[in-house]
Amino acid sequence: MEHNTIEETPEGLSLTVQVRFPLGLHARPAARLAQEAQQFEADVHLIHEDAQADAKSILDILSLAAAQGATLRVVAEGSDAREALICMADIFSGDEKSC
Amino acid sequence: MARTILFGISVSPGVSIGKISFTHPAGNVEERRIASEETDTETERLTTAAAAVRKDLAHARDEVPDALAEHREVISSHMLICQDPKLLKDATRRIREERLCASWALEKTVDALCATFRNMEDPYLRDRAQDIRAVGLRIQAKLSGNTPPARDHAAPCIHVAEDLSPADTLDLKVDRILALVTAEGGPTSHTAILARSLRIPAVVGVTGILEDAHDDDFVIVDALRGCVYIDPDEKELATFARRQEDYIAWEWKVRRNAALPAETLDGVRVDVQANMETPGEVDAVKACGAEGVGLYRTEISYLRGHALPDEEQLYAEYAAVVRDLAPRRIVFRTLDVGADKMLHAQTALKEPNPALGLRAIRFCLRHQNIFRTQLRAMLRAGVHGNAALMLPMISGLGEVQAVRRIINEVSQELTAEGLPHEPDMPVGIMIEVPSAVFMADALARECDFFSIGTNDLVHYLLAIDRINKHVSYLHEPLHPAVVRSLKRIIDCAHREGIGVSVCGELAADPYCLAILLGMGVDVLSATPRSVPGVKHLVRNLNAEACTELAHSVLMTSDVAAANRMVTEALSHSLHEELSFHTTMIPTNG
Repeated sequence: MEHNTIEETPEGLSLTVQVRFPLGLHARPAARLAQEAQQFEADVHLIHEDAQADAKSILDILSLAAAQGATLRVVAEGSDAREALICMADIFSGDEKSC
Repeated sequence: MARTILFGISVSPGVSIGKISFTHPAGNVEERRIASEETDTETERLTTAAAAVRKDLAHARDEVPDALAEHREVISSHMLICQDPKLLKDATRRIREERLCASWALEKTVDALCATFRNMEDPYLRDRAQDIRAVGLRIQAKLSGNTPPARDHAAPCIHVAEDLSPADTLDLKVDRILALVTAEGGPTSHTAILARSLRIPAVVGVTGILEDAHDDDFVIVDALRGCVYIDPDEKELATFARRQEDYIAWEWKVRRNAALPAETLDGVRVDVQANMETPGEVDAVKACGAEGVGLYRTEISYLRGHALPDEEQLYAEYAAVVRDLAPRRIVFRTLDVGADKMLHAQTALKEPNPALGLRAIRFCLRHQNIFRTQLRAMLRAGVHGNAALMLPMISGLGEVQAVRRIINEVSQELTAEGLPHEPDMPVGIMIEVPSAVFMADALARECDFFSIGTNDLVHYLLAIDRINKHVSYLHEPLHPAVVRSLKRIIDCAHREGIGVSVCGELAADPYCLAILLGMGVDVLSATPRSVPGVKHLVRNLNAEACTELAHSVLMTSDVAAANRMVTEALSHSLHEELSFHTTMIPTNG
């Protein structure tokens, strides 16, 4: 598996991930992402094409309607931004069963 | 007389008498502008209410019995929605900026979110609007202080709601539900499915129930006729108390005799089979005494996920069912959906009238890759037992011939690939389009059996839009045009030596069943729940008398006369037995 690198950008720390879940970013992965993101103090956002979603909001994540194969950028800003990104990356690299 | 009698659709039979409890108190949402000093208290009220609902849901989730494990996930997602930053932030903003009270702010936020989701292309995401609405209702109930916490431990009652979500149905203690009544919903709503699996009487789509009934009203729910009596009088109470007892005794007796063959008093044997929708119903099919599966609907595995199922998934599902039910015959109906449901993202066909559009066999012949995958899975499953396949919405010979050619090709491919399969699986067609009735003689020579889809046949024949309430009064199963069509279909089939089954609701309607029997139908297929009752009915009928009755009904050109003939004839032979069956024929007492 190619390892993604965390970059520093003006918006905060950023990481590119790919949606591998067979059904896209659906209920189960979206729920898991929101649950985990809520554990961090940092603001975490998912960016898909022109749309941006608050990673702590399942409704926001679902409304991205990101299909399998879509490329997303995860951006985090705050004291624990790095940990938050690593956690998000873990969820994206797992298969749906672990969600 | 009762104060009010309301009508709906019975989705789970039975009779119940008791007090009403509203699951979501109907009360209007408070719409009040607030003063600036109130913004903090209103924000606080909202977050407290949301947190309290989350706690309730967590509690409900822990109580989910294993048999309903999939509900746990639904409830978990509701818990997330209730703490969702997007939802709470937007509602809080409305409190602060628009100076709305907490309830009003929440209502507007929920409306806006639901509208966004409802406009999405992906049907899965569109359905999430229901979840948002369900959570919104729960928070509203907390805000208005209308939640009845003590009710959980109160006496059993009849639960009334606009509609019920999985979480709602779970925190109703199952053993305290006498019946379910909802203002919305249809036969496939969550309420209906739950009520049937728990054997609780239920009537859905009861217009007026939210307006005309109040908490603690005394009501009779007649889920055999689809009626709700509010404030019944002494006489009605006595009648229905007796009917309730009789029904319970009748159902017990009928289920105990479910394994007996369906043979009329004068020795004519009919095959009674079950309709199936999911592999999970195998046990119910075995237990109900069905002699086979007259209709296996294959749509669910296509609509459940986001991606289309592949051949191996379908093969595993079909093979398991065929194997489990062998030596019984299973009739698989090929994919019966419209383009509206299947092709959401790729090619959004905006069909103004999907019932007459690219659906069922038309869709399959257009999208042959999907169709071939399903046919391959069915032919392969055929080697594990006794299977047949059935084509929906056939309107003429060309379609049957085209499918036959595809089956031959698919079978040759499977042989070349060395995959075991059943190349000579019987192929039947659904007769539900009027043109197929006229062509029944020619069609009978091209296939191995007919199956009459009575619901669609009545709709198409009488030109009734099934979702248009204004014309539903035209749904007359004994309309002379329907009766003559049934006769023609059955005669054409028998002339070519093939069998006819009926797999719509008419198969379980006592009056229509008698007519079908009188015309010589070979197989009746009904839901597993209805099968024991259908077999019992057949055992109480006389085939020769049914033949005479069918003749008289065929002679009349007046639907009222036809209804009168069947009600008179059967009230003589079946007496009170009739009150235990649901019917679409107006019996007028």
